[in-house]
Amino acid sequence: MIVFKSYFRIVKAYLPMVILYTGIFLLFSIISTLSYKNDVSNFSTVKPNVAIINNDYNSELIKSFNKYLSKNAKIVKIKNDETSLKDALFFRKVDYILIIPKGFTNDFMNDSEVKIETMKVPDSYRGTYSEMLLNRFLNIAKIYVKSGMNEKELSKNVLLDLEKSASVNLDKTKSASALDGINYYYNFSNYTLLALTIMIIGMTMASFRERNIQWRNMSSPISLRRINFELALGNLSFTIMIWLLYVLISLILYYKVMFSFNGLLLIVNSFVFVICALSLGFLIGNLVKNQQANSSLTNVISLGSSFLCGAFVPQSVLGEQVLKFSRIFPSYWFIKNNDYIVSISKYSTSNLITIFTNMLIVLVFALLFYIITQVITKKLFKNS
Amino acid sequence: MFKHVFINRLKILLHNKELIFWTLFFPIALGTFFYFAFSNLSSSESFKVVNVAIVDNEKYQNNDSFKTMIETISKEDDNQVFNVTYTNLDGAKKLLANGKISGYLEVKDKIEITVKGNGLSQSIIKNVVDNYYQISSTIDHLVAFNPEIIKSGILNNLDMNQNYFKDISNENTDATVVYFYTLIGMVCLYGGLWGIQTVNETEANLTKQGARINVSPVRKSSVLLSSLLVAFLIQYLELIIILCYLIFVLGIDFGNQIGYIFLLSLVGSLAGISLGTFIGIAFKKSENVKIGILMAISMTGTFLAGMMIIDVKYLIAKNIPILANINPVNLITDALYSLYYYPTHERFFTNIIYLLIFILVMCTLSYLFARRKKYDSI
Repeated sequence: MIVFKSYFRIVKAYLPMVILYTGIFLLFSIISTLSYKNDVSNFSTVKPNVAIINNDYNSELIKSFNKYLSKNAKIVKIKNDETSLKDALFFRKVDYILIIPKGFTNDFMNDSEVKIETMKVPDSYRGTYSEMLLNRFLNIAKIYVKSGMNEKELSKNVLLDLEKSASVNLDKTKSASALDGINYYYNFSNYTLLALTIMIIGMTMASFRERNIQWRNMSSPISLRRINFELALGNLSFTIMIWLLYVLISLILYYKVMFSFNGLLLIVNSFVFVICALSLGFLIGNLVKNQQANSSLTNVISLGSSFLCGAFVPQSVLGEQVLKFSRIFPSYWFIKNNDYIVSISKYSTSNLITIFTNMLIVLVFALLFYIITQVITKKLFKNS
Repeated sequence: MFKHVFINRLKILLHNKELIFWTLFFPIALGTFFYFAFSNLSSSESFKVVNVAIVDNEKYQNNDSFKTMIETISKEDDNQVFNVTYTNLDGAKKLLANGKISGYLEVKDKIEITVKGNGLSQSIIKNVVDNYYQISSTIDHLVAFNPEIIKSGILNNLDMNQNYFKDISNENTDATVVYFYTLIGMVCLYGGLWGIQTVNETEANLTKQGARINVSPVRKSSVLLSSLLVAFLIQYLELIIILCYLIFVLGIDFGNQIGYIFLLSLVGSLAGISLGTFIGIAFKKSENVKIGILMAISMTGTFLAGMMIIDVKYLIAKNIPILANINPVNLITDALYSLYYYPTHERFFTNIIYLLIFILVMCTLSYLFARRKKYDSI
């Protein structure tokens, strides 16, 4: 097993790379998991982030307006200067900013024309929703003004009115949102798994394919078949090791949800995918002998397929045209399958057929890369 | 002699395919990926009409006021909120299960809402029904306040759609542009690769070419400066190409202020080259290690400027402003952002000044390391 041993001696040199990529990956997974902690066992309305700047005095009307706001929205405190307000809006820290002008209460109570200056992201969902909530208060208050009610009574009545609310039944057939974090983890692993397997397998293969080394190996008493077998074994064991590492991390990080049928399917799905990545890395290692070119190619392939297939930005948010195009990458099918597996709460035969079809497509890609490698290496071998 | 070194250095650097890939083609590829991945992101944020089903039973048909309200808000105009499908209970359940609607309403003794999951569209449905109850409560209060009011006609034209707001927000609020701005920041720092390469080929203890140049009868400062000028020009040109690609091919909004963008590119390129020169001169390590150091600095810089998670930029600027002001990627990103989002140029020039300070520090340090270097034996 001399070839196998030297294979891993080369791989060892790339260990820092594995640690670096895995470290970055873990950082992102943990950040994203922390942001996915919403519980859907009860219905609750979305509370938009609203900032309110009051240039008027603290009148009864404004007090009750604030009370209403604090119940239906999250009041965000922002420094009252233009830059802080605008930055907070741009980075979506606040959905709606209200600047109540001086003399607002008096003008409003006297039924004269009055406008509150606002800032929001134009046409945005959260901005529109905030506006709906805020306008409601003022509209009802205005009706009371028109009927001649005084400020104190009016403020009390508006609040009483706005407490009335409808009850909501929550259809709980889907409770999969606990799986959101794990979904992100496996989708994001598309990037690191691809980058690591392609780069390291590619570079290691390239060192064996270097002309002088290859000549030296061919003149050795070990048969070519034996060499190739041990190399293949090396590739396979390296790939499985990387895969095991990532599965292990997912089991530790998401132990609550990973020990389930969904979790098992995710693991199988990612295994199918790393086999495909292995096949692609093998192709590139045989095709590209220059290590620099290899690392450029690795970056373009791993980043490109991750961006276009939904590893970073979910497929549900990608454009239709982009998704049509990205079908030509195995990553598309891998990620699509992850999303699908996570979305299912009750498995039926038809679900499983869809899942296995997607896996099969990834395997067909793997086979395709393998065949191309065989054809190309035969040609290159003949030419040399 | 300056000219001679200049021309030959230009030829040498332009032959370096690997560097051209990382400083020109890689950013273009990354920009293209960003473009495709984020093209839908901002529209996914925009308001869409909520799909709702209503169980078309007798109670609904008899409840005139609720029916009128639903009809008003589902009229196809600018104020449309609902897109209503009328069906029976089973149909509504099926629509909900298939994700065609966000929820359905059934009028029994009260109005019942059924939704799947929490979200904005579900909140809007609840909000609309709440509104129905709230208005009835208002009417009760009015009648209690003044029983005569029914005759006065106020109740007949309850205007609930009056708008009390004057929108003074900026039109340019597409946050995805920041990704492209951080990309430009990254490109500027990648320009440091040219700096490292140049220094390596002119320092005697690093390469044979450097040793050869050092024994030639040319002033070292002249060689270094003309070589760095070439590096800067290549970097600047590449940056302009990338900007043109982003602006004219991909149509990314950079705020239509070409002059300012050219100025920023100039300063940004200088920042990258000066950082690369400093790393090249200060660290007595192999070329790969130096490239590694530069890459680590640029990646940390782009991360802190928000390329991977856009919120990072905001959080750093708010909580650790010093870190934001010494990070050249963030300064470049912020300068572009201020051109896009702010009507005045105050913030833009603040960023430029910080960048100039960064360049000055890098150049001074490089000078201190490079001067009077003697090689006893190499």
